[in-house]
Amino acid sequence: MIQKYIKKQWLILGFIWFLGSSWGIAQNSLKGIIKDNNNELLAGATINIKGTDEVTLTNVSGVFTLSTRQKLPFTIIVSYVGYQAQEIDIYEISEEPLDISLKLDNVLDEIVVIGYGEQKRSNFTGSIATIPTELRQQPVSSPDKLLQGSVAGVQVTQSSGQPGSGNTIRVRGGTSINAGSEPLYVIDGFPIYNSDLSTDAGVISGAKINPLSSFSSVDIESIQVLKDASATAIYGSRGANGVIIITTKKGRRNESNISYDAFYGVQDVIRKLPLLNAEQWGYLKNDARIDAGKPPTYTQEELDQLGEGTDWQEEAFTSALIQSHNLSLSAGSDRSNLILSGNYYKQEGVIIRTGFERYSGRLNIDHDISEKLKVGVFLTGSITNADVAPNGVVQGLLEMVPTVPVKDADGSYTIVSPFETAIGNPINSLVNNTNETKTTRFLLNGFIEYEIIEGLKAKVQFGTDIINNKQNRYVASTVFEGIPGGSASVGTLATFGWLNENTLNYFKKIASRHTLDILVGFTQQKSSTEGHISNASNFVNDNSTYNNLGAGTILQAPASSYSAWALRSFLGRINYNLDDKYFLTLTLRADGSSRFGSNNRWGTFPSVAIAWNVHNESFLKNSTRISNLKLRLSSGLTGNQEIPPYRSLSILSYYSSNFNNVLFAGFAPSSYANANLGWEKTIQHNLGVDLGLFKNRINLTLDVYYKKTNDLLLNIPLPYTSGLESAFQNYGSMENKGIELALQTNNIQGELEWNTSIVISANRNKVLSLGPGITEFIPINPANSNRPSEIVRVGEPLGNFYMYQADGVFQEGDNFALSPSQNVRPGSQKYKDLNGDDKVTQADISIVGNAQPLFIGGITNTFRYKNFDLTIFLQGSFGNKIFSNTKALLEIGSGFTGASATLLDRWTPTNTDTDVHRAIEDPSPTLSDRFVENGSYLRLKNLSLGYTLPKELASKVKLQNARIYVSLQNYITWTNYTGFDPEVSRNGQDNLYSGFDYGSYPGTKSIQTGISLTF
Amino acid sequence: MKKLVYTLIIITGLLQACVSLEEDPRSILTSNQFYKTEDNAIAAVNAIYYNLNHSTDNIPFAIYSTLFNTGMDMMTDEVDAGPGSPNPDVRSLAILSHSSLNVRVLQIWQAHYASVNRANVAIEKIPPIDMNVDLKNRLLGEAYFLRALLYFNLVRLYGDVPLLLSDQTLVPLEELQVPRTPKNEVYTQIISDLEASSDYFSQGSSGELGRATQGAAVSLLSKVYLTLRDWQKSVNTAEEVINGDYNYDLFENYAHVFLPAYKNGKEHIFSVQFAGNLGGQAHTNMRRAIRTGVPGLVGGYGEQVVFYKQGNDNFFSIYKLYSPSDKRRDVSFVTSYVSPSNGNTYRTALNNPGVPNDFVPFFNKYWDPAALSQTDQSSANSNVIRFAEILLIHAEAENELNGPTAKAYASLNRVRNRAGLANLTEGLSQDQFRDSVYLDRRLELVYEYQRWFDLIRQTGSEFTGVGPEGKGILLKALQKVGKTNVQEKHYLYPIPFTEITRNLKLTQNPGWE
Repeated sequence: MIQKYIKKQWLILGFIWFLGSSWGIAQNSLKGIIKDNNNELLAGATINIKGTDEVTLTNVSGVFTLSTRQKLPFTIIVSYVGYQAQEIDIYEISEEPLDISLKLDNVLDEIVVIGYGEQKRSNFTGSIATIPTELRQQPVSSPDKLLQGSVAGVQVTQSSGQPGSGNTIRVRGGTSINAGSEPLYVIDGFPIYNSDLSTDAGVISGAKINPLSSFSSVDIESIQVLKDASATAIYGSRGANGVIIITTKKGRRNESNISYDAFYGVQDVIRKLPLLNAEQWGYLKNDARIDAGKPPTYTQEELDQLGEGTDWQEEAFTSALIQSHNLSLSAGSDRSNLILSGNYYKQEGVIIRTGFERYSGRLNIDHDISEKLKVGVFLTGSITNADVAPNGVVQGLLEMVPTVPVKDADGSYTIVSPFETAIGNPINSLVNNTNETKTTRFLLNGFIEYEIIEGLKAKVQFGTDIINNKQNRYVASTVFEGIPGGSASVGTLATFGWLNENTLNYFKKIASRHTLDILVGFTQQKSSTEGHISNASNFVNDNSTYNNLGAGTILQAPASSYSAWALRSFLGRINYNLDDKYFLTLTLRADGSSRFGSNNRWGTFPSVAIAWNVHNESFLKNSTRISNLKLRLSSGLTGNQEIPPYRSLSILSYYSSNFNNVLFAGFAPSSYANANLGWEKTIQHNLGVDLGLFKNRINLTLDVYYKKTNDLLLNIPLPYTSGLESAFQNYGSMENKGIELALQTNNIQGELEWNTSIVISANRNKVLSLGPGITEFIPINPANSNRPSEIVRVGEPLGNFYMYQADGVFQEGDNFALSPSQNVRPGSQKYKDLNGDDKVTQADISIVGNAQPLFIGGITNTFRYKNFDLTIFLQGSFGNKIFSNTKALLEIGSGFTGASATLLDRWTPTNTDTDVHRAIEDPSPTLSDRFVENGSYLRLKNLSLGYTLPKELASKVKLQNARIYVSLQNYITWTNYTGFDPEVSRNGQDNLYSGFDYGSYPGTKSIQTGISLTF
Repeated sequence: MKKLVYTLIIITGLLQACVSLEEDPRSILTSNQFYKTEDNAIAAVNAIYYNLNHSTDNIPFAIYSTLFNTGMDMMTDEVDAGPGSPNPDVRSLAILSHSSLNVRVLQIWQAHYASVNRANVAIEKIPPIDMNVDLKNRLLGEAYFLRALLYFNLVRLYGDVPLLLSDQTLVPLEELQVPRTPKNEVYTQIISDLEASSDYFSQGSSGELGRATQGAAVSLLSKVYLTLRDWQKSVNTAEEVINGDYNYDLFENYAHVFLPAYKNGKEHIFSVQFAGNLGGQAHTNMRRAIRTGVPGLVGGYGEQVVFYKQGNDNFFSIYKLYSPSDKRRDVSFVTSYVSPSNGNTYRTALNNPGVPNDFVPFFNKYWDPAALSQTDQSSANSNVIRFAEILLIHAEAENELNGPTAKAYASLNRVRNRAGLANLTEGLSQDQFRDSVYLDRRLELVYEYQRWFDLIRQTGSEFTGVGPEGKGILLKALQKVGKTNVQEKHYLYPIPFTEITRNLKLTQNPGWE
């Protein structure tokens, strides 16, 4: 039979095109028959010539005839409700009718990648979610950001707007208090715990750079999130916080193409904070001085001349470019395929002199040496460079006094605020300091698979993850902090990890009703990290910055470090399928971890799950409404090992001393040995329903879960009389329970297609116990703010803010004793006396809000009309609170620092009807719920409008496919939060101080245009 | 093909032997590797000194600089929180509105006990080590001295405190919960430790300048007896220091007491050692004391003198208690700074209608002329006990014991004369003499972390105010300078609230519940 239609075979297309044959524009009549995969004829199927409004339908016998003057070649789109639409390129019109067979449009036939294998979604017993294709194309610096709002049950919070900075990811809530709660990432089979610390040599200051930013999101084929114990127990000791499986693109067999994807855009800060201008600030300063019995700083004439002054935010914020280029070559023969890609990503920061860039390359090869022996490699390498805004610089921009000029009359930068609080000129530090981090990362992974007998496959995998981080910091001698000679630090952190996994997989169909899929394996993984830091200061000049530490006249003690961990595991899984109706999955993993005490090194993690495909039962088989109904139930035990190494040993620390200016070494015990230290264990139960209605035009997935974590790796507080502060013990428990809903609907089909996807999830977290006798503790604030602001209490969720409750301001005649502060007078801040003891003391501090959201979600609407596509993606978080230390400091009203515009309405003898306290020379804020705000937001995360060039037009310029698009990222945010951005978590992955905003890099919005070409 | 598979199986087998789950902590030492050699013994003792002069990860400040300055001195009638001290905990201490949650109250507790445990480790681990006996004796002398000093501070600040004499990192978790030991038992241990220290030193070799010595042990003993009002023993031990063969003497120039160039000199009996640019061992009080806004001289303005109204002077302070001829005033304070960048003089005018041309005095005792370019790298030491104080202790104890005898006059006059002051008026009564000693203690030892201990120790007279039930002068002295929140309960710190939550056997001090 003559081949009449060819699906996307560009070689042949090119060949034909090359012949230069010209086709007539005479009317042609295209005929065809449309069937389904059971060879049943489909009546009423739509046939549309792509890029035109020429449409026809099949008759009752599934036959269509389409008359057209369309110039060859062209593409037709064949679609039918409940079936996957098919595009067919037509190069010639033949007498013989086209024989087209449509596949059932069934998400259930989708193959999902699970731990140590893959499976048809319809056969999977666990809870899994996949990031939809249209949301994978957002311009992001690291793949984990794509999880935000796109899958149910996953909460993503970026730590700041710093380009390249990290995220906190919680799958079904955090399971731990002191140990890490990030999910496990498995990239092409290589398990990685994404700790911010692995790319932080410890030299620079500012937001930590995300180690996953080494990977380009363009290379990614799919991202799956494994959520319940049935799905994650195969990762045993690392499965408690969910597993995110990232699979990169592969080439296709017998197909070759080159594609180029690029975008280019501009970013801006989402908003500026309203602050007092110079004149307004001058009045505040005078008020505060007068209040303290001092003469005012400015005379009326001086005040009148202050004007706007310096807008420090304006000086530092800028429109910043963002661009990405990806060139990839995909090639395949009938025995092998490869993809080779190179990527460049550059995101400048909206704060001057900050930014992030990445060069990355990837080579994935699959090759069949024989029918039975297959090999494959996944090789990726990247270099990332980031210029980070140091801690304090954003707060400096806000607190710097507006009457201070950026530069002196002689053109040199102002060094420092001349007022009481010495704030260095933040523009000077941004321009003249260096604060950079560079990471080189290679993830190299390969496997050999051999089919020993039919159905029995042995697979051996080796991989290595090499991360080299180098950080450079130089504080120039002309900058306040660097006076007089500058100071320089360099540091490196080199991590070498390797992995070996050996699995045997047996697949057997018995008597056509029973299917058995058995996996057993042995794996081992080891990682070691070496670091070093050197510092010097007082240089003769700033020329060599951090490049010649030896030239410093003051050399500081160098530091070096080594740490390592190892994991050895045995795993097994049995999947049993009876008649495609009943499914059973049993998994077991035994892990041995070096991080635990010698008595408790091994842990065993079992799980069991069953599923029932109700729609395959005879009573539902012929239902016209219900096309899919599956019930899933799973239970299992998973673990967490994310504590630093060596916590079970009695360690001596270095305690140096000096006598008469000479340094002496000292050593003493600094930890409490615990040979019984063991796993944190999470029991999880999951009940899920998958429902498909009307030939799966409506798909609903609903999961409810309960997770209880026992033997928490709790860094329990010890009495300080022990000389220590805390020790890791397996104490206490915590629960997370929640509900997740994912709904996909195909609202309109045909020429105009409209799909909607909604994900909503709610998680409730509660601390159940903190060990014997301990009912609460106040964690030490890592942001080094002067006050603890949160509390961990039994019976309450993590993330509780713990402060006074503000109660307006004191007025004349009030009881001034009702305050924790001294010198109270009319206009002073007032707080609630909760216990009614006529005093406001520490006893009146209470929980005033929680950083965890009530629910989170996302809505994606996708429209296609002819060659246009439009995606509107809204994402939000609701019911969470944010504590803004920034706000607390900007509203002090001391006249020592720049101030919030809120203070325009401050209490004065003539403006008493206000809740803003008076100007007062007190430089320390008392924390109260005044600074805890509603952090709920709804955000237009992504809007993108694309146009795909019609085939005939594309083929003229030798293109197989061409799409151009415009997209908006974070463009509109609806929120009551008064800070830069409600998406903020200054303390990054820390479980105890979430929802904390303090001098965080502002969030950004961007607009970009992009193209995607396939040759 | 099969060969390949077998090869892989073999490689896998080999690797399995490679991965060990035993931890190999190369960059850190573990307990079982240590306490075996002479060098280990020295290192164990060096570590005890650590918190005295060092900030650490979990206690970001040293006891004898920031902690005592902002956590204790600022409560006195001499030092106040300056505009550059935004920490609410410090500010609340400065007006005595602090609570048991106060972070400095906790950090002082924490830093002392961290050092106590290191002293206990040294005292436990050193005796079995096979090493030079003279050196071993000296090291034990240092360890006992330091443990006594730490408990002496603790018992004075907190009252009854848990008395722990063994390494706590090895006891079972539940045994970490310990009750408070009565004050007198703690003092008994302090005296016994100091006597042990003195004994060990007398049979030990001498160490580097700056380490604790026998003279330091005897001197501290004298101060302990003074605190316990055991006047006879205080006089005896003070006289042992004054007349013994320790060769202590006053510097002729009062300024030399504080200048880093003269550190560990004849007047310095025991000082906490600070050194700039030596990895977190610099004195932080230099920068904190300096005025802001002097080009080329980074100042924190974190503290200032306590100003109070006296007569028509709105800005009276300890600075004005000095007579103009007292050389100590302009060593202890400066009222102007010369900018190292432009040579101009900077000072802060006080808008004081009662006193024309009045300027803010800034504390100056930790000033290091070599650290102008890095004011956070002062190498000035903190005096724990110096010879001038021994003379003052002697004068005070002798006066309490026998009245203002010639011996008492001689010791006090030695201190006064060095300051450029004439001999004290002859023929004073015992009460008058006591007032004079108290005043000279203030003027001599201002800003040396002594005032708080004096305020809670000294019993009053008409001049300074009588405390309740024969207690000290604290209430009157603080009320006088406007720190009117002061109450009876302030004689003791609260037991840190977080410590009570960690150790349920602890009780709170009266008034702090």
